[in-house]
Amino acid sequence: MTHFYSPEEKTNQMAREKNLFLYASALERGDLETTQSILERAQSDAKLEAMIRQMHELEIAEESASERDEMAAQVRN
Amino acid sequence: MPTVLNDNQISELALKGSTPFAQSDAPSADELTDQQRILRRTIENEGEFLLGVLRSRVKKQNVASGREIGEVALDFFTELYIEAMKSAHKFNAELSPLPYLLGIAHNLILRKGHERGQNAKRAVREFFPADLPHQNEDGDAAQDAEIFDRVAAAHSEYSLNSATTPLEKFDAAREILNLVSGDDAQILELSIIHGLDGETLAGVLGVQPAAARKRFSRALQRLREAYSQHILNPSAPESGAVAR
Repeated sequence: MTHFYSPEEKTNQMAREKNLFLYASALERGDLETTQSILERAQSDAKLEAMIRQMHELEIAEESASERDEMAAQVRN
Repeated sequence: MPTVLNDNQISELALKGSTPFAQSDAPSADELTDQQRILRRTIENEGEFLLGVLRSRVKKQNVASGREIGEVALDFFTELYIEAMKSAHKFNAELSPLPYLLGIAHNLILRKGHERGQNAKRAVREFFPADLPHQNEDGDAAQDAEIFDRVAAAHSEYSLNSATTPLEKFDAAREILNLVSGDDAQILELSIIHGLDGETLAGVLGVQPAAARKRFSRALQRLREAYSQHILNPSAPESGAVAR
């Protein structure tokens, strides 16, 4: 599915994708300054906030699946 | 011996108010400022999500492991509430509260978790002296931004001429794709073609946008490492650029 953006929307969306990447990388690195700066932007950008939320929800789901696998492995052993 | 809590129990505790909201010294609803009221309501409504974020960050930052993760996350959840109430005057009530609370959550994990994490890392190093450095140890936000902008520039160049010229003819794209291999190259190639848009990438890959963005993010991280190794520091040993 291809989304069609106006040039301005495309620029805004690319900025959001960049911010999400910077946010995810900063979190992994423990870079609080960058993390906070992007969260400040997300406070006034609902789409960026939704993208950050989706990222964390995926992380939570992956952690839960990983924990279930570990428990299943413990039960098997 | 820490109490063992599973996901459901923790969620119930958070949602039913057995933790921060039941504290005897917590202010009553009448005593709260508007900002505190908004933040408190958001913590109540988003308790499960915030606790999930805390759990996953506690695990990823090595603040705790195994069965202690749940309990430590719950401690942070309580601290999140206390800190939100304390710092509520800094919150602009016109803006969205969830990112503000996520900011507090990360602050708590990274600052207060640092000490616990250092202890855990020290313990690990004692057992494994050859412990590898963290993959992003030398990185910074400027390098992240630079590598993203390089891929974005490759997209811009391609999008202007894509009707007449295939992707592999563009130097910028070739430079990027030659540095990585396999799945990473495929994700980056699709991103260059489709404009680094997670929604579109998700459609092409047949996955959720968050999953597509995560694959893209990982591919970019590995590209950054390869770029740093082969372009910025080409004389370094362990050269492993991929020929395509």
